Order: sequence, then C-alpha cells, then structure tokens
Amino acid sequence: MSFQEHMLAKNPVFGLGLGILPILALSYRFDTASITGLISLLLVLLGKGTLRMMKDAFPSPILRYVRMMVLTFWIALTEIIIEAYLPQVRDSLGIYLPLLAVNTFLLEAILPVDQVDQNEWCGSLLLGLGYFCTIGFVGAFREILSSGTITLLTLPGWTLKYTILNKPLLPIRFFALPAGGLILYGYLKAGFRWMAIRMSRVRKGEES
Amino acid sequence: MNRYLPIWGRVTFLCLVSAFLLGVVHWGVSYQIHKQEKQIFESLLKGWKQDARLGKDLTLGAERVVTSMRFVKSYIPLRGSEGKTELVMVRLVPGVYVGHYQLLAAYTKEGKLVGYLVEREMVPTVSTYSKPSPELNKVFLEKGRWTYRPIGIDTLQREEIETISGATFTFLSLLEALQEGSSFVKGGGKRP
Repeated sequence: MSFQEHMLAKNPVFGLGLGILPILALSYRFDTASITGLISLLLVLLGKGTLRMMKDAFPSPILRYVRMMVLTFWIALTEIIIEAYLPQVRDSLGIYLPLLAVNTFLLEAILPVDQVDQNEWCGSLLLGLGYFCTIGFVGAFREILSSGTITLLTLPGWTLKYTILNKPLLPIRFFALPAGGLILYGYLKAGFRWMAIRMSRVRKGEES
Repeated sequence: MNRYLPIWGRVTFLCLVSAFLLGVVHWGVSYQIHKQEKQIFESLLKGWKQDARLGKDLTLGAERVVTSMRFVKSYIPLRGSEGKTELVMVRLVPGVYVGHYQLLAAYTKEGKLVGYLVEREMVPTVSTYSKPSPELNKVFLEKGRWTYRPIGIDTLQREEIETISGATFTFLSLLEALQEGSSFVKGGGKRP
C-alpha cells in the first residue's frame, strides 16, 4: 500500500472513521490539535514497542487487555510529565488526555487486519502519522475559519500566533463549536473520499 | 484453574511494575508540580495585594497548612493594626473532571465570604468574541480579578449553574469548596 493510500483511503479519521472525538473536541485550535496528534503518535509507537516485548508472555485472547493496560500506563506517564512541565497543555486537553489511550487502542486495533508481521512497525508509524497530519490539518483549518488566526505554539506566558484572515474577510465562529466541527468533518470526509476514489480510478487505468 | 494462575500472576506483576514506575516518575516530578502550585498561589496573593479594596490596612500572617480536608489546603490570617485577626484568606483547591485549580477566598471571622479569586478564567466560551449570557454573568470568574460577593455565594442556585453547559462540575466544585472554606473559618480553623 502506497503512502498516499495510507493517507487517503486508509486515513484513520476520514477513511476509517476512527478517533473522531478528539477531532471534534480538540481541533478548535492548531496547537491543541497538533499536540493531541503528537501524543497519539507517541502512544501508538510506545504501545507497539512495549507489547512486542511482552507478546510471548501472554496468550493471544489476553493480549488485547494487556494492550489496553500498556496504553493506559503510557498515557498516565505522559499525563504526569505534562502536568509537571506543560500545565497549560493539560488544561487545554482536559478529560481528552486520558481518553487518548482508548483512541489509540481503537486506532491500533485495525492494524492486524491488513498488516503483515514484517510491516507492523511501518504500518503503526504511518497510522500514527496519518492521525497526526489529519488532526493538525483539521485544527489549522478550523482555527483559521473560526478565529481567523493560527496558534502554532503556546508556552507559559508566550504564544506564537499569526492572524490569517483580515478585514473584509471575517471568521465564522460557529466552526469552533463541536457542531461546526462535525459539519466540517462531513465536508472533509467527502473530499477525502472523492480523492481516494479518483486515485483508485487512476491506478486501475494504469494497470489496465 | 491452574491454567489461568500463571497468566493471573503475570498480569498482577505487570500492574505492580506499572504502578511502581508511575509512582517513581510522579515522585521525580512532584517537586516541579509543587513549585508550580506555589507560584500560582503567590500570584493569587499578589492579586489580593493589588486590589486595595480588600483589607488594604491589614497585614498578612504566616501561611498555615491544613491537612485532611477535601478542599481547604491552607489559610493565612489577616491582622489589623491591633494584631487581631480581621479576615482569613483560605487557599482552596477544587477539583474538576481532570486535575484541579486553585482558589483564594477571603472570609470574615464569622465565616462570611467576602470575595474570591480564581487561578484561571472559567467561562465556557466558544471564542474570544462571544459574550456571556446573563446566567453566566452571575458566575463570571475572571483571572486575576476579585469577585466580590458580599451577600454570599449561597445566593447562587444549583439550577442556575446547571444552565451552564459543560461547566457544571467545575462550578459545583467551586461552590462546595467555598462552603467548606466558610465552615472551616466558622469553626475557628478546625475541621467542621
């Protein structure tokens, strides 16, 4: 499967409909969205690495529970570190930070279906990257539409923010709401689907 | 039964190792967490000093730590020129969904709430342009500014709070914390 296919047809958010909750709740600002994506990517890789080490110690029916436990451990660890060094990030993510363990569990759960053992790491990396890029893209798009700005980084007492939309273009605040996010998700999903179908047709045409 | 025993043992071992590692990491960074909490408390106290309306002639006493209470973490007596305690500043830590925030509340000796100051702005707005509703205005809490409630926080009804979607637990915990602080001061600095 090519990189484009991973990003379009097998995109976790728009292709497979996974991880929508953080997309709706946290993508109202680019910095919050990108941090969520980054934590998800780290969780996917750390979870995969840890589980690989203890794969032989547990029978396969138990492994899914162990996977959940491993992800919970990593997210708890991340939460402690974020609370100590980036409290404003913890405040922005709120309840959705611990919930990322469930999100990552669901993201990973789809992997064994179409991944062979040799490509396991590559598949996880692409899945995590796909999620990171998608939530970052939605975050940037939503923030520009709803506030007319893009917030790249927020540190204690310092924010890197650019104004994109100036008069006469006015932002539509509705898109910062979860309902606005859902509508935007629908349009973006349709766009991604259209691109995936188009790519598939081009590929079939090349093959024939 | 015997078949599952080794699996049970391994899962238990994994849980214990995870708990131990989390404990070690938390212990390692707890200094940083306490440092931040202290900084926030100092900035809240600074906010009190900047607002001269609240006991400008009073002097701050030493902070006294309170253990085994849900929200009250410490208190500072504010003394008048004769050395008598006029007001009591209570440091409260109400919980929200995840994590917590700090709150500095001033009470009279009788436990009547004079005013309070929150660590961060707590208005469930959709963007910086939106205006709070009349219901929301009643509990509008602005960062770095004292909210004066001479008639008492108990005038705020639970139903009014529940009209604020998404902030119910936050505001209920604020109410509970302020009530606990009042009972604490009324009881002369003892657990009610």
